[in-house]
Amino acid sequence: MSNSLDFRYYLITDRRQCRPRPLPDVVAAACRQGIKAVQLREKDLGGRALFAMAEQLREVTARWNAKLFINDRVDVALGVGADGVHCRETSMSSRDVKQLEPSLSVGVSVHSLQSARRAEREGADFLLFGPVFYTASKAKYGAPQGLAALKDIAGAAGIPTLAVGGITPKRAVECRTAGAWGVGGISSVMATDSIPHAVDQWKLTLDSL
Amino acid sequence: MEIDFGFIMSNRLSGVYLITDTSRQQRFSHRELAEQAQRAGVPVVQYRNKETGGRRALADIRGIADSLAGTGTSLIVNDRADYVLAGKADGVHLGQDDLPIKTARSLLGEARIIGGSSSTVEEARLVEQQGADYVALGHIFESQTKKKDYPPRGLEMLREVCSALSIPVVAIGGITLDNAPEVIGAGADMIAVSSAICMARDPYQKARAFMGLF
Repeated sequence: MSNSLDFRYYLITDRRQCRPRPLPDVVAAACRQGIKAVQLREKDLGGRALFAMAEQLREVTARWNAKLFINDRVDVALGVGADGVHCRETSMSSRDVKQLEPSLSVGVSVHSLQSARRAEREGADFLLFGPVFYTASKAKYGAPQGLAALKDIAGAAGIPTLAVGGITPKRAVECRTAGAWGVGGISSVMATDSIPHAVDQWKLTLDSL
Repeated sequence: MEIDFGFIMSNRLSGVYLITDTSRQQRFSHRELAEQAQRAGVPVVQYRNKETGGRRALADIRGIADSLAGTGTSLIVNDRADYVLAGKADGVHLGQDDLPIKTARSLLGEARIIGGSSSTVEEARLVEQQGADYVALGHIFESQTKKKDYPPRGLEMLREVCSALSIPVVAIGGITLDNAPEVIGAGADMIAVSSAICMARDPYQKARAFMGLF
């Protein structure tokens, strides 16, 4: 367990926001521009389609030396040789993931201090906390958690916390001040017409990607 | 001396294949249903749960695996090879949209059971070619458990698949005590049953009745 990570921006996929461009092209462009960590998160895809997508993302992330995380599915992660798994609160625990493959890095989405503590205890490598700000994709889950809650989580955790949810470059600075190691996001890179510009903005804001 | 374990596998893959269901009934847990089936001599139980996450699923699977350990009843997990590994189950069942069979085989190794779903003779052949240990064909009849957007496959296709394949064939979909003899007569090695046992007043007795057909 460590208090640092070798990336500060965690790119989370949503192939719908890429349209009409194929997701692997968008991820390749982002990695070419310097993105260091990508989470494949396409929850509606069955195992076969997800595996095929993961294989493509493994190829492009490896080409640019970026890490690939697979949401929830350890079997897909193992099958394509991903670097890690991203667990939801309801997913199998980090301990179970690492028992299957100790070299897998595990990120865990948390929505409370209690689940953050549990994730750390179970051996997670980093936390993803949110939504910190309002975001359309998470609005149905209730009000944003806010910077104060982020500060509580990041302050209590002995592992890095990434902030997610409605985070713009300007707000990312506030998140860092609140103790976040970095940020995660979908739309600023997935849905933009200029991936190089969007990635450069993050690089500028976070010092390093 | 070379020992052929093939007979053990085919022996094991004969009889009732119970898919435990806790969405249409809540009197019994997955584990309780599996235990009743095991006592009735059912050789294969499948855990299928699309509603909960891995934490809950693994707790269920570990509980069932614990109950079935050493009994000769195998535990198959639907869709997720990772749950099989982490929960020490005996195998995985893969639908046409699930992980490729070859990927599951490379993750699980030769000792574990891998089954694949099919709904045509062609799909069944492919499942066999890709290295599955059994193929499921369905739905044979209209099923209450799973609504399908294509018509029942019927006994004729079941016969065709059973004669075309050399791995065991599991017939699935709408199988009851009344129609099971025809299904077995058509060549099915196993009959997959969910509602007919899980919804029965006494699942153990019902499982025994089904097993008595073999």
